[in-house]
Amino acid sequence: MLPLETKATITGTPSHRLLKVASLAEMAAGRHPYERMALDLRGLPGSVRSPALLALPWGALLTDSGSTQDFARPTISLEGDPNIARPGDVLELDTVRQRAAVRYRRGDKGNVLFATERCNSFCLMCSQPPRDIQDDWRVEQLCSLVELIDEAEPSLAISGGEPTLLGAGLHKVIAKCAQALPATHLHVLSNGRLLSDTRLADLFRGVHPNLSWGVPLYGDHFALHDYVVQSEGAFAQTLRGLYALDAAQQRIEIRVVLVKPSLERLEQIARYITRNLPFVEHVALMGIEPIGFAKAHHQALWADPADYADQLSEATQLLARAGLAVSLYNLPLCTLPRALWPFARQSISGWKNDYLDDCAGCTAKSQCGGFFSWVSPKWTSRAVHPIKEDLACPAY
Amino acid sequence: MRRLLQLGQPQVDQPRRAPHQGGSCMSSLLIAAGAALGALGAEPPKPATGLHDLVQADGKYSTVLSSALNDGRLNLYASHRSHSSHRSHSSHSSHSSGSGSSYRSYTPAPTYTPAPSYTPPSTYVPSTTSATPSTQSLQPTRLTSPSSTGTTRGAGQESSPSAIPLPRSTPAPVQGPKKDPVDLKMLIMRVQAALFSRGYDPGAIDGVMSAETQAALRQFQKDHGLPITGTMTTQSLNFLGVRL
Repeated sequence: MLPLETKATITGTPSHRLLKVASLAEMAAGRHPYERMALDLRGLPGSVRSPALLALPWGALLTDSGSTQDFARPTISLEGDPNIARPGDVLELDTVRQRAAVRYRRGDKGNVLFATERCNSFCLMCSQPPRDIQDDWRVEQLCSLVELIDEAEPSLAISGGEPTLLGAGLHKVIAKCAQALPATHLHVLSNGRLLSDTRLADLFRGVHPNLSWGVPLYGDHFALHDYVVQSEGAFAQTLRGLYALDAAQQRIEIRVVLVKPSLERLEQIARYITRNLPFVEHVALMGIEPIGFAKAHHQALWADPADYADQLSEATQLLARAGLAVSLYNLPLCTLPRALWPFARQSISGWKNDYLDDCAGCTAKSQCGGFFSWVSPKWTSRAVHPIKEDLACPAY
Repeated sequence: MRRLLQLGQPQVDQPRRAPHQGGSCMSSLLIAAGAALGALGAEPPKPATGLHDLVQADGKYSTVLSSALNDGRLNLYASHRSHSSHRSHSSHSSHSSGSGSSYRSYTPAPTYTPAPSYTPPSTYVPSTTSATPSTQSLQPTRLTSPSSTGTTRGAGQESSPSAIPLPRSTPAPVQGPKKDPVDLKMLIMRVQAALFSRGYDPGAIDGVMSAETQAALRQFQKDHGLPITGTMTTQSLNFLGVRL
């Protein structure tokens, strides 16, 4: 997996903080102004590098590290793997710290518009612990980033932090996407609490042609949900938010992270969803990501899926029978009953498709979601084992 | 612009590889017919009986039948052959609105003679699309800020006073966009870049319509079943993914 940030040597003052890495193909397409592109000179033969080409008002020139050639434009050279930035990617440049960060990676399935570091919940298993800082500047930065993202990008997540803390700013970002990326599927990951204010939820009515919301629900009862998200009143707010989203004709996915207290009542949670939230289009049951706050709460959170096969099966079948689409994420196939395999999805994010040494001889590996890159034995099911059968004709 | 009828063409900025898809074939015929109407010889009009009537009948609806990359955009540079003809362009500008327009509603007056005091014939009705070429068609090459455009021109381009582009906000007289050596150079560079990124060898990417570039363009046109002109026809630009 490529890092998202690297040391860089940046000379001169690029006209914009965010620049699209451009090959000659991007130049030909002419979708972005030269000032907002960094021409990738790496590997470009000398025969085509005319002075006229280099004299175009590029935001910067991306050069080989160690290049000593003198250029009239600002230059960037990146340390480490040259693949960290490829044509189509968007780089954020920090001239003071001499660093470059990748804010959009062409072809990556896990691109995120990072809305804010703030959050109004403090979930036990939060993988991205919030910081209480003023970062409303991100609204403008995201709008600027959206302009540089490929028009053909299939999907983007909008996450944080809690994106709805941006209020109308979130609407602004999504409206910007509607203008620049109307074909891109946007998935907002929100706890939905602030959407209990119907005025906020109504803002998103018809704002983008392909927008959906992923809202977590951890209990069928306020005490359980409020405990997991460590916030009093959260359950009531989230439910009001879900109804407000539905009233604003939004598409909704419910996410249940399989922490121990929720796993114990998974069947009841599934029944609660089918009875009270029949309008949701997808329910995602997700294994824990062993990072962030989760590491500090191993005892309270960890449950081996192998011990909860019945709960998982009952809940999944109950939701499926009610006509709701169900998916299981972050759960290796070998830890699941065979009947659940059709529901298991391979994760789309690069950092979720790692495999253990044990997996080398497994015949199901190519169909399995694998593990988080930062998984440790403490967070690994004892049921993990290589599957040896021939799966050419699947059991299901 | 309104698109009342779309013949299943994706609107994304992509080259159409198959030269004879129904939609693009139709649209290229229409473009060619439009060019013929515009009394321009650069894009060889295809002999197609009945098309003329079809285009005229279509004209009153002011719609675009499909959405190829550069539909409705004015290609002032389709006939450009080499760098040496640059200087003549500025003197042509007064009647440049007659060159290669694909406006449906545009019918040239039969008695048209190029004169410095040219005013468009009364039948020239700027449809909803007609505002587009003057602002949008030049946009990609206009994306440079005024200051940086100056820098670009300083880098080895003869600058004549008439070559200084008018700010687009200035309400220009009704003569349409002008050919502009800076725009032309930028367009050639982007065509060279497109040719290079598709594996052709246009030589240095320098904005000069060199023999190498023309040869690469001809080869590209040949490989894609386009009329082999060695010039930047709108069709070739569409196939190259170069937005006007």
